Amino acid sequence: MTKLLILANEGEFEEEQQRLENSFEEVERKSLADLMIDVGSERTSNILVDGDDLNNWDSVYIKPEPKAFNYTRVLMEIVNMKEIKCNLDPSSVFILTKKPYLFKVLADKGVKIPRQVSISTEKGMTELGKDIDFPVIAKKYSNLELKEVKVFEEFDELKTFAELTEHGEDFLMIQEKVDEDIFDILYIEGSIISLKVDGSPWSESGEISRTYHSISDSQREVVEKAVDSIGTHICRLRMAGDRVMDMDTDPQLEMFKQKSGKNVFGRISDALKEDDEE
Amino acid sequence: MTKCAVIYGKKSAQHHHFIEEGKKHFDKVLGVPLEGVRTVYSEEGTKLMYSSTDLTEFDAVYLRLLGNDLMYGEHLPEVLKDNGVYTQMQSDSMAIASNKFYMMKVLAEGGIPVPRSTYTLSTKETERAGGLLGYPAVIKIISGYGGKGVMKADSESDIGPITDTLTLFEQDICLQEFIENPGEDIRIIVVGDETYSYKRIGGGEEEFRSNISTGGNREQVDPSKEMKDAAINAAKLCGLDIAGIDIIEDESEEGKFYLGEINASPGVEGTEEILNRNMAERFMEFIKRKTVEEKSL
Repeated sequence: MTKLLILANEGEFEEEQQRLENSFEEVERKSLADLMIDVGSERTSNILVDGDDLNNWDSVYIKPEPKAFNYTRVLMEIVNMKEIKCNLDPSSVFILTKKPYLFKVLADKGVKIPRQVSISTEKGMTELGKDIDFPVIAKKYSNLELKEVKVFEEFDELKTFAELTEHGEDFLMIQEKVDEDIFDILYIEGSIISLKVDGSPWSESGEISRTYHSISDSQREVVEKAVDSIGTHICRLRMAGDRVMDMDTDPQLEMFKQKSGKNVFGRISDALKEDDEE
Repeated sequence: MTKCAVIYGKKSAQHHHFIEEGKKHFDKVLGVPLEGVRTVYSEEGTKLMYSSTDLTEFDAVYLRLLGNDLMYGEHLPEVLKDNGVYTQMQSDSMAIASNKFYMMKVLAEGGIPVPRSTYTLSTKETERAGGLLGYPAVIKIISGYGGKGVMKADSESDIGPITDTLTLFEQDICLQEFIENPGEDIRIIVVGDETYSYKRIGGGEEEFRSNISTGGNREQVDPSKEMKDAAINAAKLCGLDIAGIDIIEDESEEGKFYLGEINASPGVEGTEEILNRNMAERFMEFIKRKTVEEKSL
């Protein structure tokens, strides 16, 4: 019997939970606020879920929450050490959430990415024009959460946008705009579900539609190289042509199921149960 | 020509000491506010720019950063090391040293004695943690520093009013076992395999914290070899070549101690009289020696 623990806030991940209930014998739902991590001088750490030992569950699905990033990072290290199957793992949750680190890893591993820069505030923009060509896509993150995305044709407009960032809470990722077809891709343990994005995901209106659409072999190679570089087994990617524009820990399972009609939750269940069936 | 940069965060108050003392050991020393650093990513790799200066072409960078700088500064050590630049910390050092619970976890796993600690996000679970640890207990904001965000809970009824406020401001909570002690601790500054120590004495009968910024005083002390070894080991476990380690002596048993905290950017102001040493100069001298060793200059 496989017991799944879902960690998500109230009002979130409810449809997804119902679908996962079809694949697990027992599903229980709690939030991160129901957890206590305990460490002492015995060299071991324990996790209590509403007072019960986490070892009572076989698998854990965590709905990632950027504002609880520090907690999730420590939690993941212990879950990993206890060898409990989980949709996240400690190093990839860190790399995927910290965008300045994510693109460092991708760049160093030779994954195709647009030329880009990250800055903490507008003070980092001096001589930025030497590093990047306009137009650019600027993404503002506040406490690790994507808050605003805009396209800028000129340096001065971008500087005005950057002046609103605050050191310690915000940072900006600024990417050269790639004029190619855009795809949102769900990766689950070697399987790829891809959606073509129509509309302008980086415009002010942000109105887009997605349709199920396969990607080319060369794009597939880039996806596989990107996920291998990060070491993740479940994640979402956005690509423009054959360049990785972003990667995320939150796979948006329900959206991919609805748009593709694929058995997304069956694949997630397999990924969370794999070892038990071997 | 040897070049060193000192990258400092917005709340840094002591970086100018290191810039000045660094000039005795490097041909060029550049002070760089973290806010002015730009990370450039391309298929050729990653570099750090300050205006038109490429910091990855320097020989060494001293990262003088606090928890508040974690949001943007965490990738810097790895970018520097990948480009062959010496820096005094590893990629996860900042994350560990700026999280009061994470440091306890890393140290406990490494066999260092630490007070039993819990990590929670709600009042309900913090009260449950209090039941496990017993009272009094110490409540810490995860990212506090200089003794700020540290409170004592004498009973379960003290927990709710404090943690309700902390959770309202989305602060993670570390609840720790209270170690019986007369409100003093030993600060051991680790520089490589060397240690420099002084005692910090609390700021009055009602003040259980011993941080200088909360009104404490300093005094000379010679810690035991076990304490010095634990401090050096703790710095290594956190990937820090330079660190400030706080040791709490347990009154209940002779020679028993716990490691209370680790600081990745230890303060040096006012330590000269107690230690008979210019610590800012010692840090920069060490950074130069490590740079020469690692880069075969």
